[in-house]
Amino acid sequence: MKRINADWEAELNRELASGPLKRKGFTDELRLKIEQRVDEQAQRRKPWIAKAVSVCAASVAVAAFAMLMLVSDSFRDKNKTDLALESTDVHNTTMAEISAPANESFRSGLLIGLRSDDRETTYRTLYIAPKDNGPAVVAQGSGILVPYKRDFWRIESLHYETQTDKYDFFVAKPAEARSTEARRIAPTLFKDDPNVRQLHSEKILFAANQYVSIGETDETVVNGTRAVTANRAWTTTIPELTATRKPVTLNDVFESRIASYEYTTDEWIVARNEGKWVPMVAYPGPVAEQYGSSFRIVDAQLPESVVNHDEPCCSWSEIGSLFPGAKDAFSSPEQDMTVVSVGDALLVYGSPDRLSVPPALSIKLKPKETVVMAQWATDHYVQEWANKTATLLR
Amino acid sequence: MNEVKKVESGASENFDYLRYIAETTDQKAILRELMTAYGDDVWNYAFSICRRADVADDITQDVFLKVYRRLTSFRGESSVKTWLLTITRNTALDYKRSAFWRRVTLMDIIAPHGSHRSAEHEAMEQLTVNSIWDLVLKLPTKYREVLILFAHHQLSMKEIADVLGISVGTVKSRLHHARLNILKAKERGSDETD
Repeated sequence: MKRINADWEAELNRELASGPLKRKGFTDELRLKIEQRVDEQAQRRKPWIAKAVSVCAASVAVAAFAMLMLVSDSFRDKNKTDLALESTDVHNTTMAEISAPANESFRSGLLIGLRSDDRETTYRTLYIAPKDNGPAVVAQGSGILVPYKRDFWRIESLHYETQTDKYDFFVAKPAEARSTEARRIAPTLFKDDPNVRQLHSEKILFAANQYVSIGETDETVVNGTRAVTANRAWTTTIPELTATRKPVTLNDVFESRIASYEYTTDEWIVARNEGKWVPMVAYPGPVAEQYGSSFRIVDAQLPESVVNHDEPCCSWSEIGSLFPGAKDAFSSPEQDMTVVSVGDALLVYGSPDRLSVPPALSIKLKPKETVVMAQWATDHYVQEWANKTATLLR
Repeated sequence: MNEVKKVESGASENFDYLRYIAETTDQKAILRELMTAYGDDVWNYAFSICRRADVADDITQDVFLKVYRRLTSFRGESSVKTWLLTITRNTALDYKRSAFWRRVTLMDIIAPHGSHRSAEHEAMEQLTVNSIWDLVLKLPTKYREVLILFAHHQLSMKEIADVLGISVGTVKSRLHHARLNILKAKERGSDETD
């Protein structure tokens, strides 16, 4: 065996003198991003400094007033009742000034879809919106409810059986329409081979106001033993889920004509990765790998048609530092609401500046529950959605 | 071999004024200079810890934001480079401790029985340039760190000990084991290709 000597050490040091990658890690783009974040941080701090100054000024005024009262015995004895009333008023005014930013900060609504992969897979939808000066779950119910055009659609779970097969699958329909009958739609979607016993199941991986990503598993049963034969994951439009279920490609959503595999395959999905929605493409694995494929992130920013608003308030590591147990985070377009998933709860905060204070709302999560949909409502939609979801999510 | 090196003589001297920085100084201009001088060091160190380029980007952003906020608190007890690398390490470790680090493969959701190579591993293989870096990045963290701080960042034993919060003796021992591991791995590799 070769020994460690000075020459070998020198060779090792030479090899490691350059960076680890062919490409440059610290790019001009990254430098610009940092400078932008420094500017943003400075901008965000200014109003808070101003408010802090006004609160301090109010506190000083109260303290000065109190001191004046304390030293003036005659005044205190004479006007005890008046003083008590006046002090209360001053106190209330000060508190109102302090809590005003919190009240003002919640303007947006968030329709959030959750999937729990505990013993059985379940779905629920919550609508978080301002109520009584703070955020509240104003509507919730089972299943996934998505905003679609000017209405809401429900992604409905259906079960269908033939003599040999069982199918658990999803369809989408206007939320106020009657339930779809599985026996009417399933034969058009699935081909029944009477010689094979097949179990087909699906999971919603992503849902938004135009697209939905589905993961499906087909198992065959041979001599009473289940064997996975195929896993696929694909993305389609909300109405297509009930129609032909034709998957879309990344070229379709980007309206591009890129020839590479990533953009032409229909086996791709939208997934959460480090606080962002990202496209993930299935790459065929070695033949020896029974389960066919593994997913990799495609380095492309999904268009608004797919993810609508998806701007994180803070970087990954910033969230990770503030919330060591954090699994995901969402921020409203107006930066007035930030929701952090910490595994067993969704913590609702105001602006990103207020992430270090206790959350304004904590929503308990079920075991193994993750976010599959996050749709923001702003302006008049906040109340409109509150009214509609209160009816539809009962 | 004399392993105590003269470190970053040019760069640290240029940043001597950081000790006397005031609130009124143009801190953004200083940040720009620091990024020019040490941007690559911070990014490469972050990458060597987390082994993912996208995460190294995030960590680097956070490091320089922290540095910007703490510019007035730098008192020159260590060199600027050691100060930056210590912040980088702490930020990266915070990041690794967070749940964000844990990767969830989608096929685990769809098919719990599937076995797949980790995306992290695949990405790493694609990105590393030469065989030595590839081997170094596969070393256990404690060996990887000392070797990279010594051979790539050219810190002295004392500085490495300060960054890692361990004794100089432990640094030397880990450095020896790191080199030994690389040597063995390299020989295994050449045996396989023979």
